[in-house]
Amino acid sequence: MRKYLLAAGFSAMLAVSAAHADTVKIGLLGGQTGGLASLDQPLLHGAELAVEEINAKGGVDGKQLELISRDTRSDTGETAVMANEMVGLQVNFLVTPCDGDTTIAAGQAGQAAGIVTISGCASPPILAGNVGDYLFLNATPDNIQATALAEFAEKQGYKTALTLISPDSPYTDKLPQYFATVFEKDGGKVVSTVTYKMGQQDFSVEVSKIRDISPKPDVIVTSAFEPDFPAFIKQLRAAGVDIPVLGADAIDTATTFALGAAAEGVVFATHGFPENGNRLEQFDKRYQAKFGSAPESIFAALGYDLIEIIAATVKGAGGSLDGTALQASLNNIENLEITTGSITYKGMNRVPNRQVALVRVVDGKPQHVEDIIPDASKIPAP
Amino acid sequence: MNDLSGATKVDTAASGKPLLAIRNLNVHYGPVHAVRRVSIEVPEQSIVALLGANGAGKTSVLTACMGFLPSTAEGLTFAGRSIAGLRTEEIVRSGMTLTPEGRRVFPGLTVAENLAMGGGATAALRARAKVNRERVFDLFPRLRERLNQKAGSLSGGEQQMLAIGRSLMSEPKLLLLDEPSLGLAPNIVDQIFDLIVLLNKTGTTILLVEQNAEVSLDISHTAFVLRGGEVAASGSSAELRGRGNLDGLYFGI
Amino acid sequence: MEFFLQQFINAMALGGTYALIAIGLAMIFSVMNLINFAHGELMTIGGYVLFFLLVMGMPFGAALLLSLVAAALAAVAMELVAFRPFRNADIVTMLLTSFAVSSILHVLFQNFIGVRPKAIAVPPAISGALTFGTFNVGVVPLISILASVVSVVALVLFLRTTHVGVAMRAAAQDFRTTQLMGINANAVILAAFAISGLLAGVAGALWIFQRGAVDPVMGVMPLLKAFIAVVVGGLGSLPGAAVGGLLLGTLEVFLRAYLPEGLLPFRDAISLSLVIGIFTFYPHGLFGDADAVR
Repeated sequence: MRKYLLAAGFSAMLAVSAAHADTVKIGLLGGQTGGLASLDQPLLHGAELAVEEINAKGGVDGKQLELISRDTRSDTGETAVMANEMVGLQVNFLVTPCDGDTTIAAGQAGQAAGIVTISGCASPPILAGNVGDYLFLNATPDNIQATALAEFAEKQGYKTALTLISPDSPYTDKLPQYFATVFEKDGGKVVSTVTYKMGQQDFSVEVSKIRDISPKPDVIVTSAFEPDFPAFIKQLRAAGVDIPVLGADAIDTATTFALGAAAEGVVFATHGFPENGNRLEQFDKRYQAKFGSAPESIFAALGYDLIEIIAATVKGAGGSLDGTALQASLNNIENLEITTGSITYKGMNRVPNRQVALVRVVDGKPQHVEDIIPDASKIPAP
Repeated sequence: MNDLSGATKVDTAASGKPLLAIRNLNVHYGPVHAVRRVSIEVPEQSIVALLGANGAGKTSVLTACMGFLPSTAEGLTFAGRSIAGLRTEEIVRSGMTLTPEGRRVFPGLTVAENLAMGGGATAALRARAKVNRERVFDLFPRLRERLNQKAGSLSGGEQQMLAIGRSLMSEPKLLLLDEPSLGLAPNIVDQIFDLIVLLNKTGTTILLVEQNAEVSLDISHTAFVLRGGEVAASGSSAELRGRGNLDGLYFGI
Repeated sequence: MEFFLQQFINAMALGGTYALIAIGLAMIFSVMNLINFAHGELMTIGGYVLFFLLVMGMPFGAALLLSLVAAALAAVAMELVAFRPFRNADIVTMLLTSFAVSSILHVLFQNFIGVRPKAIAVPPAISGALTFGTFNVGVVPLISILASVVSVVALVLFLRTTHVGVAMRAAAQDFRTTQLMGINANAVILAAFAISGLLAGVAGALWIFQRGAVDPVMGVMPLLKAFIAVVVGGLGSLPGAAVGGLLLGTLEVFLRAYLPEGLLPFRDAISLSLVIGIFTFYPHGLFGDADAVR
């Protein structure tokens, strides 16, 4: 009897999935609350807008996109559980949260099930290798951001640098090290590395160490983000240290621009800059119309990018929603125009090449410095 | 206290209406029925002794009266007013207080602070605290010397004096004393009993719980004996003393 | 020497902030056997009030004062709404209640204010640095030390010279006997909550001066640190909490300052090991005995 019920249930499930073959299911896991919320929340909003707009135009090759999102509460364990739920729901794409640990946790479920898995905005390039050939990145990878920062530093004439790292995550640990690799290869010197702990908030000791370095370094490079970055930069400036600071994409949020004098002059690498009616600026306007407020950060646009990449992947697979077909299609994307610029997966081992925008904080507002497409030969290996 | 030496004989007869009237009081600790239908009257100006073996329910009666223990009673009146269900602090403010078993002085507070706590219930009391403190010092000159010492550093006898003095700071009409002689040296015990008589003479009604039955019956007007949570015997103290066999009353032998 | 002096100032600043939080925790524990895990959220509430008042255009000083009042009122409200119904419940029930209050507040902050940090612009006068010759010290650490000292001195005066203060010390030693004195137990407990809230408000403001933003979980980390400080000092002892806070802050700062770079990732493990070491000599904490609250 029990066997019978099981069989009936199973065939019902098959029937359901067959009936929905004209929809592309996207399972999006994000920390809508907790530590990753400042990244994952805008990402989800951007993705929602993209799904809505693409579906309104008739979908992708007649297929509607269906976004199924879950709040992982920024917890790695919960993320793994929810990833398995998504596998059970037979999603065609799995999107993982914006950091390394959660992406690895969820990515393993996607890898095992042969589902194309894309991290919403995690940027450590080692992730793709850590998980397997179904895991792709979306955001500009750390080594490419770091290369752009190093090129910028060299152009400013900086000769010596100090890196502020935290071994607590690949992002906060490796990005300044990629910078160091490129910077030193080009003749610069990283004179000191100061370590902090994520969430420590009191940076008095680190700031004293930096202040006591003699001669003082030309630039400080860090991929710290909130709440650490605001605390660090405030305490650094409060202590009278005026060394320029370079940061990375995770500080491209409203908090950074609200820090007042402390953040003035900080330059960071990010994914794009809205200006002159470019696609990003148009996106910002449509976003404002839908949600009633401007995007909180660039990660909203990355959410839109993500759906555009998925749409292009579906299109490239020629109607098949089979995991291997989608994987091959995504690996073949080259110079795809997306909201923040253009993206290439072809020949990149699932870690995309993107152009890097450099932004400076001026009077509490973002100012576009330049766009850099790093020289591929300079990009350090993950 | 010279005039009181040897004053163990009570000469002022108890008079007047009951200041505290307990009718059919019951206290339960979970399934244990610790106090069963206990009725006690404490006439104004009297000393009433509440006797009994350990665990007979004496302390439970006192703490129930003070509103510390959930209890049921047909009547619980103090000075003609029902005090059933009142909070402890309200009961204290109405003029009845308890000097608890084991003294319970605040060990980390000074003698002065302990006394201030005793007289701190209302603004009116606090205004008279200085006068009341002098009265306490008249009774216990030793406390004056120890004024700024931590109560925890006092001897047992001094702590008992402080505990009683602290209770007096609230100007009680009725003072409940729970085992005031427990653990004290014999000469101190004598002093304490002398003091109880003196307090009574100066107008304070007293309900005394004691293990020292002999002396308690000497100084009290009436007495109640509890056994197993019930009143096993009651009457004038002289009469109970006449019966002789207190152990029999205590244990029902 | 100069580096040491700077680290010493940093240690006192961080330790002083921990001490303020720890004293508030210890105070509530001493009068009602409650380890209030929602205590950190009082810092957050003060921070949000500061944020909203500044957004409304109030001058910084006035907004700061009102935020302290708000933290004190929030503490009082916590007692009235959440803890009073469980007044005589066992310690685990109350502990769980405080956990519940803490997580409910997190959700309320996240859903009604937002998960993202709200930046608070601290006036330049506070975020600057003072220079004495070659010696350079931030204003915030100095303010932290000053505020901690002033708060502790004011607290000691309050506890020693006012009737309510003495009653709180009495209640901490023997709550039942305090009631026997005719003293209003609820008033004493409310006063304890108000003061612990005020101290949390001060600590929260100092925390925000450091980090420049308030977010829903801002109070979690400092609360855990303060809890360790309270346990080190001896549960319920106010001097113990103060000393525990200073000790923990000093340990953290000096480990960060003097551990070789390669050992830095282990500094929390090292500082916790040292703390555990204290318990082998003082199993009840440094000031943990029956009459600890003086």
